[in-house]
Amino acid sequence: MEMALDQVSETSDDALLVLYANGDPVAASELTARLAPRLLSFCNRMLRDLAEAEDVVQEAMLRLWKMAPEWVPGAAKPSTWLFRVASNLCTDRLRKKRGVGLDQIAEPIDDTPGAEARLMQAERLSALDMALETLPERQRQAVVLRHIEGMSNPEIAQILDISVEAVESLTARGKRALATELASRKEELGL
Amino acid sequence: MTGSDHTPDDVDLDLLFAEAKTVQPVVSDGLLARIAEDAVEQQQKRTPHAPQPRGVLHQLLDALGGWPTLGGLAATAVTGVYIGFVQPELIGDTLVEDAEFVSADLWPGDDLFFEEG
Repeated sequence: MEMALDQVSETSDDALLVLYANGDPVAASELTARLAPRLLSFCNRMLRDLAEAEDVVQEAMLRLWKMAPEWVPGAAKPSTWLFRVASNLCTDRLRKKRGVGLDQIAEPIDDTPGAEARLMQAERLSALDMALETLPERQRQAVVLRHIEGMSNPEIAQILDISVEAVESLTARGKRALATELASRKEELGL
Repeated sequence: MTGSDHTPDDVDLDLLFAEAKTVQPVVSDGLLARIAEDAVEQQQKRTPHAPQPRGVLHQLLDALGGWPTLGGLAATAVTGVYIGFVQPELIGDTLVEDAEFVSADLWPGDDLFFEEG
């Protein structure tokens, strides 16, 4: 079964995964293009190591390919399933390595006009990453998924395998802890 | 300026989150290639081969009812050949003994064959 290229963009992630399982040669690249960037962003923010984040993304995608034949359409979103796998893989890696240096922060994309503004933004992002790292893992995952990846609380609940109320509690406590951590640098960072 | 007089409520986290959303690492060509390689490998591992078209003999076999039917036919044929070659007179004797009132000749070919021989 092969799908025309112009139909690919209109097809849901769910349907693409089924097409992939049925041997479609285009579905995998489309799914990768849709899911990998957000997944890499999340993993990179969790691990603060781009190479490790790439490894986790590859491993999570591999598990998606392996699971594809058993996928039940409509049961869940492939992206949710994938973030859940990646979240667990990140947790495993974080437990193995503790303490990451500042030099391992991923370089942000330079899309601001002035050098001073770029420097300030880089400072802020660095401060955010450092503050995120002080949070307990579950809080950090919840805050990143909610406020940076823009996911809904029910979706995060599925990813973290907890209740929606627990997600709300984690994100609220996480934000409070972040604000406390950054309060002393408010003026320095232009917050 | 230590900023120690600021409370957590003063910190504009929304600004930080908004900026963080705009800064995403680029998925490298190398990672894309590795993911694509895995996808193809997994797909090839499990993609079933296309079923081969069935031949005439297979279609005939299917029409007859499959191997069980063919087995029954073969057994019947072998039994018939066996009886015919080993004890052909048994058939005639049995028929004559059991059919005292039958005048019709069930094996006309036999008579003709023996008379001429």
